[in-house]
This record gives sequence, structure tokens and C-alpha cells, in this order.
Amino acid sequence: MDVQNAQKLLRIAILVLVAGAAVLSRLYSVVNFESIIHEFDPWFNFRATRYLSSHGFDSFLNWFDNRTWYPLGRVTGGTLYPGLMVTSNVVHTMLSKIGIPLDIRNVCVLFAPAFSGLTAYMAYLFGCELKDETAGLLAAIFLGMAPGYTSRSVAGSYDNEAIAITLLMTTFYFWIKALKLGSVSWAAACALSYFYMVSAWGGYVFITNIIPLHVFVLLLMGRFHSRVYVAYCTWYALGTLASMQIPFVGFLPIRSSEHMSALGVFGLLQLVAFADYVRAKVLERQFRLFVVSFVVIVVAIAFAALLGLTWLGVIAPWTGRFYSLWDTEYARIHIPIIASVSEHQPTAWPSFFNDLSFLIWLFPVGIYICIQELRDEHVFLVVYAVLGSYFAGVMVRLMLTLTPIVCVAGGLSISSLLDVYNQWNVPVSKAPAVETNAKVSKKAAKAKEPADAAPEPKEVQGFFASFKSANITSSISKVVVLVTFFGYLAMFVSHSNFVTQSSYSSPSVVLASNMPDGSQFLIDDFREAYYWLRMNTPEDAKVMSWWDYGYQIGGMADRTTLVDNNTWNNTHIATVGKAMACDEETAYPILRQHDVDYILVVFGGLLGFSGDDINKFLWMVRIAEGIWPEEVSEGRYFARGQYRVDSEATETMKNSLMYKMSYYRFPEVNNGADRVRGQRLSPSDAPTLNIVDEAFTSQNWLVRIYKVKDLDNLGRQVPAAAAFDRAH
Amino acid sequence: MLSFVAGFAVLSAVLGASSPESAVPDVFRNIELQQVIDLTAAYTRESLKVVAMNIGEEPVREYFLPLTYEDASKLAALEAEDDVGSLRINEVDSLHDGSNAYFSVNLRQPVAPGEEIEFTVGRAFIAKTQPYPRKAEQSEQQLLVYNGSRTILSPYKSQKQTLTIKTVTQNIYDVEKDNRQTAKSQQLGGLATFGPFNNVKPFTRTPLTLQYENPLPQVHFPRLDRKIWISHWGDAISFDESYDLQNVGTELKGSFSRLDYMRTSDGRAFSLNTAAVRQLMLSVPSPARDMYYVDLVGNVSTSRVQTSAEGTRLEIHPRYPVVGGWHYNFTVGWTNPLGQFVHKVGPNRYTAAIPLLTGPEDASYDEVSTKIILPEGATNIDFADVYGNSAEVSTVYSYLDFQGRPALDVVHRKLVTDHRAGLLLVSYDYSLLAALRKPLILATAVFCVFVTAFYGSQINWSL
Repeated sequence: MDVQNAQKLLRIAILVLVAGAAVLSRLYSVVNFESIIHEFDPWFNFRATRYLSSHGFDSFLNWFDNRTWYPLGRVTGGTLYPGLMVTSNVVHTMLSKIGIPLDIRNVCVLFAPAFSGLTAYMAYLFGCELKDETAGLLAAIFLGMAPGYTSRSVAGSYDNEAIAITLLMTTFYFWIKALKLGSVSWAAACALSYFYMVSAWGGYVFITNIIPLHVFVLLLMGRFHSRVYVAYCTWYALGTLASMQIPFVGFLPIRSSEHMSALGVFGLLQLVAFADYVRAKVLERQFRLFVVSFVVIVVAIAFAALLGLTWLGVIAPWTGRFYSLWDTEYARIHIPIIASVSEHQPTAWPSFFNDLSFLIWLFPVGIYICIQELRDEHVFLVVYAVLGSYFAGVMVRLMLTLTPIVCVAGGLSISSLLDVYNQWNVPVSKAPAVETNAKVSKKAAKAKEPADAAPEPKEVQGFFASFKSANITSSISKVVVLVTFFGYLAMFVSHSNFVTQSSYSSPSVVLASNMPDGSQFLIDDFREAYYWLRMNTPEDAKVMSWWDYGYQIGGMADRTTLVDNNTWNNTHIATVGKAMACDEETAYPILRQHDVDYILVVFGGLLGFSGDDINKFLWMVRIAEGIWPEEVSEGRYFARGQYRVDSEATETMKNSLMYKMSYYRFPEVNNGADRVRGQRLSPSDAPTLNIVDEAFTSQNWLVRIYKVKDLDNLGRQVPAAAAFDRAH
Repeated sequence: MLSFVAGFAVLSAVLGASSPESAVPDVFRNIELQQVIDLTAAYTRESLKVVAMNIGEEPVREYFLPLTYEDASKLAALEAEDDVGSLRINEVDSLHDGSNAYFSVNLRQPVAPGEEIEFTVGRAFIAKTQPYPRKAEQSEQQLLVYNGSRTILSPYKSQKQTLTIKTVTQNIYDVEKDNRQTAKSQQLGGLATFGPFNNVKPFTRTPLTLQYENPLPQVHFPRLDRKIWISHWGDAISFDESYDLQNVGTELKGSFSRLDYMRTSDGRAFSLNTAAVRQLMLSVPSPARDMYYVDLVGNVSTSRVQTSAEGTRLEIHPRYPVVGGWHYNFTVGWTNPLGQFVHKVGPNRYTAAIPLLTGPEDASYDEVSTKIILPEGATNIDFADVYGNSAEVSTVYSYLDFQGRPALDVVHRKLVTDHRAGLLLVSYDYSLLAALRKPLILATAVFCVFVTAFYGSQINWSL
């Protein structure tokens, strides 16, 4: 009893420390920079959260946002996943109820670290279900610190993924639990957690497909059982109904192809259950005939129905982002707007090592162990591993969904290693039933669960159990192995910390650089320009910029934008691209039609910031070309196959509004040397502006804002009037 | 442009030429009036030295000062002092007539007939000068216009009056003189002297319009919100001040070119670039800790703290240079030890003496609202300031508050940097029991949580 309590206390202490480590390692961004919302999407989430907290839940769901996508507006309440905002708002309200009135911004900034602490705990429970507490604790610490997860959950990274990974692990844990016990309660919990996940992240489709796939694989393996039937049907019925309550999801679960596998498996399970029932009633030979004819007919009907409904348009065809998961070239050719996002690019090999450290080679070991053991839940792990690895290879951002499974697999393999090499009281007899002291409590704990359908731990049969009977007598080999792996673990921690601190903690709103004396110097041009917009332009001013900056302008400058990171309307984005890519005469009518007051461009030439608009310019051209192929053509921006901005640049390039706004008066500073392109503009290349006036340029020229001229009082064409004014 | 300025001057001449019947008893004769108008700051400072004699038959104790209603509406500060110390000065509503408002200086003792007195009146005005032309290009200089009177408005006859005007640079244009050559004035560096004028009749007002160059930023705060938290447990008094900043100098016409700004910001030539607010110096009571400088989108990294013997100076830079006509807002905050401002005056009785203003040098304020948040459980709250304002009491809920903290709200209008010497005085009772209430409640709550957790763990929760 004492040992048990001590172990329990120790486990709690370890879990608390793990959660603490997970939270603390994510605070580098606050320590090194400040408590600020990061990047792009989080600014929208933050703005939505503030809207929710000030307007209430009902008006949040009915939110029509006329400050974005001018003049179209956006049905924001119906096109977002509200889980994140609702959760942080609930947290915020609860905290102020118990007398901790935190600023909503601080709640949002610290949201992701707090939930990563919870994720670590869920990983522990998940690991416990798969093997034992040791595996759970290791999985918890791995998931708590792995850079692949930290990358999306540092303080300030207030994005859907921050809560989604927690929910992913929770849903999987409940699923395993429901499947093992065949329990309706656990399956209902799983459905609830799935609903929460649906409300929080578009990646819920991953769960929607992986659970049916798991069940399907179990069926193929001949493991159909009433437990599977109960768990799956409960989850599917409740989960699907619940998920349809989210306005953005609506009827997708019964119409879109991405959800069809879940429906299909649901139907299949009914058939299998029916067949199972029939088999109990009829003879073996009759049954064969019955099964074969039955299966052929049903599959044919189902397939024809699927094709027919898709063809009729009842079932939505698969979205482009989904196609690009299977064919990496697809997006580049057909949907430039998806391909233009760097996180949709295929993953480079080094980033696997960077994000997962030594877990990347422990991962196959863990999966191998699972295949050896191969209870139902281990099948799940294998299925998840296969799918997760594939997706992570296709898209950088899906590294996130791979990380949990890698961490759990890593926990399994290390704990197995410890099982073998960390036995110091060598059993007196070789009988495996005799347990070593260290394992007493765990087995007792397991024995307490009466409905556990896995083989009783005492009758050691599984692969895991064989570790304990492995008898390594040489202390030297034990010490060498343990010390080596202790080293690996230490390296993992330091590597994770280093990567988190150096690569994933930058808010990207603020850029850090070093002064000559080595002290840190912050380049804060974005906020400088946004704040200028906020304080010195009319409140209803319309700001045009490339869509990347839409959310930030909405969040920090609080001005109406034409396009933003939501990218729901490709034509509108192409219009902005066209206005940027065309000459002034063509652009001016477009600007007038859209009531544009200010244009914001990002220009890194002076500072050497490579993510600027001139480097993104080709994407604007490509997207515009997709809609107006006869007016915009990518080839005309290349001078003899090269992307030039100096005197070699093509006329089309030099006349484009984007080029003019970026390089306006640039040759007069720094000898016109563009540090990003490595080219030099001579004074004769200096562009002249006719339809816009410079309104503001930030300290390092990173952001330049131009004001669109009003129509000429004398009724002349604006470019002509400007040319006339210049001459006189 | 020049003709417009002239017309402007003529207009003000017509308005100013009035000598109404007044109810002020004619008991003084001004031996000498010396006025110095300081136009070097972002607001207008005037000092008026009065030497006067009682020409009546009875001892008099009140000397009256008129002020046109337009000036009175811009008046931010008014005080008088003699050799011994400051004198009381009040507005006398009963005397107000068609053109002037009246203030009375309460002399130290009644002035006997034939006796002379001498004292100085200090005044400060907000927005008495305007940029003219209102808008200019980035490379042009900042010109302001001062409208006033060559002679000094007084209800008494004056034997001698002199007026001196101080400006930053030598560029002063007397609009009247350049166009009509009437009044005598001489320009000496940044000084313009008018007079002496002898035997000036009561209520003589001779319009004066000066256009002068002021290369310095015209810092104005339409609004300042101060929150002052007094915590006995933390032994701390925390200040949180949110400023709305506006540069009320010459507005920028057309575009702002960063290139031109970079080239001319060395200050060799005066232009709107030099008149942009690029930094503000705040004097923070020393020793201060936990300083911050933020705005609506987060921390502003461009600030520096200088600690010296006199105090802590916080040098802050707006995110962008605030050119004429532009706006900016920011919040600064810091914490001082409690004992620096709060003193124990009796058993369980404390008095807090809080500075009225701590803002930057050379600035004017339209509205300053101060919220003083006392510790939870403070009672018997008294408030006083030198301007006779009263405070409203409200309740603020903050960290782990059970019954809320009493807070005092007080609003001051029209303040200038010179008001930094002013104090807000708050007295309150705060007993040991009130101080112990919060930890006791918290301890009970935590205890309850543990007890619940203990009994909760005894129950079998499995599904």
C-alpha cells in the first residue's frame, strides 16, 4: 500500500513537472520578446475572441464582418471554427469570476502553453492504455517538449492547432478506451471530444478518417466484435450529429467526400453485424454463398451511389487542398493560392530530425513493438503511424499531426528498453509470473479494471510481458545502455529547448537583429506602420495589401481590408493581384471601384528582409493570370528568364504598381542597392508615381503606405494630371 | 497669404477695441506693469509684474485682473505671489461684464491709501497660439501666430507698461508693423519688446498679431487617464498612465517622405521634421521599478531609463515621429515604494499625497482623469486637492478581491506641465483586520479545494 501511494505521488509529481516543463519551454517568446500575438492567423483569432467577449455568443455566431473582404464582407460567424475563441473566452470569464481579471490578450497568449500541459497529460493516459505508466510518462515528456508540437503552440501562437492537438489526443484516448471496453459511455465521451475537435480545427477530418480506417483494418483482420460495433456506432452517430451543429460544418458530414469513409464503415459494420447474426443461424456452406453474393451486390450499389451522387453534385467533390494531399504537384498547377503558402509545401528531410530529434529513429521501433503486441489499440497506432507519416511528408504543417504518434511510439520503445535493461532485482526463479517490485502497483492497478478485455496481465502472453522475463545479467551492459539512453534523453531536452528558443519563438511581427555590440535590437516596422494607420487615418479607411497582411491589418491597424488570410474568394485576391501587377492606368479604375484609400506594401530591399512583396510578386501575377490570362502574363515579368528589378527589368515590371510603390525614391537611399535581390537601381530607374502619394514609410522602409489620389478636380485622367503637375 | 494675415489682424483689432463700463472700483493706479509672454513652449506662459498704488481713501485688499472671455476659456493656470509667498486668487463671477471675466488677487494685508504694493501674476494658456499657415510641406518651417494685445488689459490707469515676448528663434514677424507700421517694437534675438507705453487708460486693448517660428513639437494631450493603485500588502503604489498625444503644430500637407525625414532630422535646418515629436522625457519619482511603455498593440521597444540623483527619467520614443496633425497614444507605468507617497497619520489612518501630473516636459492637457484605487477594506475616505475638485467614489474589482476596492475618480481640465507640483491628497482608514481578510478568505478557499479533492478521490468515478 505504501509503495503504491508513493508511486502515485511520484507519478503526480512527474506529471506536474512535465506539464510545467511543457509550459515553461513555450514561454521563450514572451521572455525574449513580449506577450504578443504571433504571426497572421492568430491575429484573426484574437480579434474574433475580442469580438466574442464584447458582443456575446449569439452575435458572434451571426457575425457578419464588413471590415474584411471589402466590399463583399465575410460571414465570419458561419465560416470559422469557434472552439478556440469560445474556450479562451470561457477561461477568461471563469478567471475573472474567481477574482483573477486577466487581460484577454494575456489569456490568448498563454492559451497554447496551458493546453500543451494538458496534451502532455493526455499523452500519458494514451501511453498507459497502450503499455504502462512508464510508457505514458515518457510519452508525456516527449510530447510536452517535442519541437514538432512546440512549433505551433508557443506562447502567442494563438491558433486552432493550439487546442486541436489536445483534443486530438483526448479523442484518441477515449476511442481506445471505448474500443477496449466496448463501453457506450466512453464512446459518448469520445464523440463529445470529437465534437469539440470539430468546433476547433478543420483538421478534425483526420479523426473522421482514421477511426473508420482503424475499424476497417480490424474488420479485415477478422477482429469484429460487439465491442467494436458498440464503440464505433455510438461514436459515429453521436459525433456526426454533434459535428453538424457547427455552422461552418453544417451538412458536410453527409455530403462531402472526405466524410464518406466514416459513413461507409458505419454501413459496413451494420452489414458485418448482420452477417455475424446470420452466420450464427445458418449452415456454413449456405453462409458462404450468402456472404459472397451479398457483398458483391452491396459494394456495387454503394459505389454506384457514391459516383452518382458526386456526379449529381449532392456530394461535394473533393476540395483542392485535399487533392494536394495526394498529388503534391496538383496545387502548383491548379491552385496557386494554396501553393503560395509556405506551410503547404512538402516537408524537407532535415525538418523531421529538427522537429523530432532522436524520436524519429525510435518511432519505427515503437511501431515494431506495436506490431509484435498487436492488440486492437496497437492496430490503431500502426494505422495512425502510416497515415501520419504520409501526410507529414506531403505538407510541412501536418508534421503537427505526426508528432503525437511519434512521441507515443518513442515512449513505448524507451519504456520497453527500460523494462529489459532496468531490472536490478534479478528474479530468483525464471517463472514470469513472479513480478519485480517496481511493477507491482501497475499490475495491481490494471487488475482493478474488471472489464479490461486484454489478456490478464498475470497470465503473461504478450510481447510486452516477454521483456520482463528477459534476463540480462551483465551489469555492464545494463549500465552502458542506460547511460547511453540517458544521454539521448538529455540531448533531446536540450535540442528541443534550443529549437524552440531559436526557431519557433519569433513572433514574426517583430524581427530581432543584433547591434554591432551584440545587444538585441528589435525591428518593429510592422507595428509602427499598422499603428500609424490606426491613429492617423479615418476609421472607415480601406486598406489594400496582399492577403498575407490582411489579418494583421484587421487586428493591429483596425482598418477595413480587401483581402485577408482567409482566402475564401480567389477572384477577389486575383483582383488585388491584378491591381498590383498592372500599370497605373489599368490599376486606377480597379482601386476606385474598390474604394481603396491606402495601399500597403512590404519592402525588404533596404533591410534585407526576404519575405517581402517583390519576392511574393510572382504569386500575385500567377493568381491574377489565373483569372485574366489575356491581361496578365507571368512571362512578361521576366527579363530573359531572370527575375530582375534593376535597369534590366522588363517594361511590364517597371510599370507595375507594386514595383513602383516598392522602389519609389529608393535609388536615392543606400545607393539603390537592393539587399534582397542583390541588384542595384541607378537613379535613372527611379519610378514616378501618378495615381498614389506616399503617405508613410516605416523606419527601415519595411512597410510603405501609399494614399490613392482622388479624382482630378478638372476631370482629367489622374495619371495625366499628375504628369502635368510634375512638369510645372 | 500676407494679406490674409493682415485681414486677420484688422478683425482682431475691431474685436479688441472696447472699453466698457466696469463695476470695478477705481482705487488703484498701476505705477508699472511688466508683462513677459513666453512663447517658447508648447503652451503660452505669461508673467505679469504689477506695481500699484492705492489712490482711494480706504484701505483695499483686492486687486482686480480682467481677462477677455476668449483668453479665460484658454486659461490653464493662474497664480500670484509677492516677496513673501503666494497670494490667493479667485474668479469673481459677480463682476463679469460684456467682454471680460474678472479675477481678484487677495493681497496679504489691506493696502493703506497712498501705499504701494508689488506682486507678480503667473498665467498659462492652452491653445492660445495657432499654426499659421495651418498646413505646410514637410520641408517648410513651423510658423505659429500669437494674438494678443500690445498694451496690458487692466481696469486701472497705468503710468507705464512694457511687454516682452520670448520666442525660440529670431524669426518674429509683427504683422501690424510690417503692414501698417504703427506700434514700435524691436527684435532682439528671440525677444520682441513693445513699449514702454505711458499713461495707458483703463481697458485699453491694442491688438497685436505676431507670427513667429517655433521649431519645437507642439505636444498636446487631449486626454490622460491615470490609474494609481495603492497596495499595503505589496508595499507599493503603482502608476498607470494612458496618454492620447496630438501634435498641434503645423499640419503636414501631402505626403510624408521617410527619405526627407532621414536626411533632415539632424536638426541643422528647422522644418516640420524637427517639429515632429520624436521623443518625450518623463520624470518618474525615484526609486521606481517595473516600468513599462506600451500602446494598444503591445510593447514599444524604443525607450530608455536614466536614473540619476534627482530622479528617474524615462525617455520614450513614439513608434513613429508624430508630425504636425498626427496622433499617437501610449501607456506608461511604474511602481514606487508605498512609503514614498503614503504616510501613517494616526492609528489605522493613512494619508496619500499623490502628484497631480507626472507627464513629460512642455506639454498641455485638456482633460486629466485620475482614478486612485485604495486597498480593499479602506474606509472613511477623504479627498482634497488645491483646486477644490471633488472626487467620486466607485468600486473596482481586481486580483482576488472579495468585496472590491474603493476608488476615487477625479477629473481635472486644462492642465500644463507646470501643474506637476500639484498634489492630490487622500486620507483613509485601513485596519489590520481589513488587511488580514484577504489572506484568510484565500486560505479558506484553498483548504476547501483540498478537502473536496480528498473526499473526491475516495469515490469510484469509473464509467
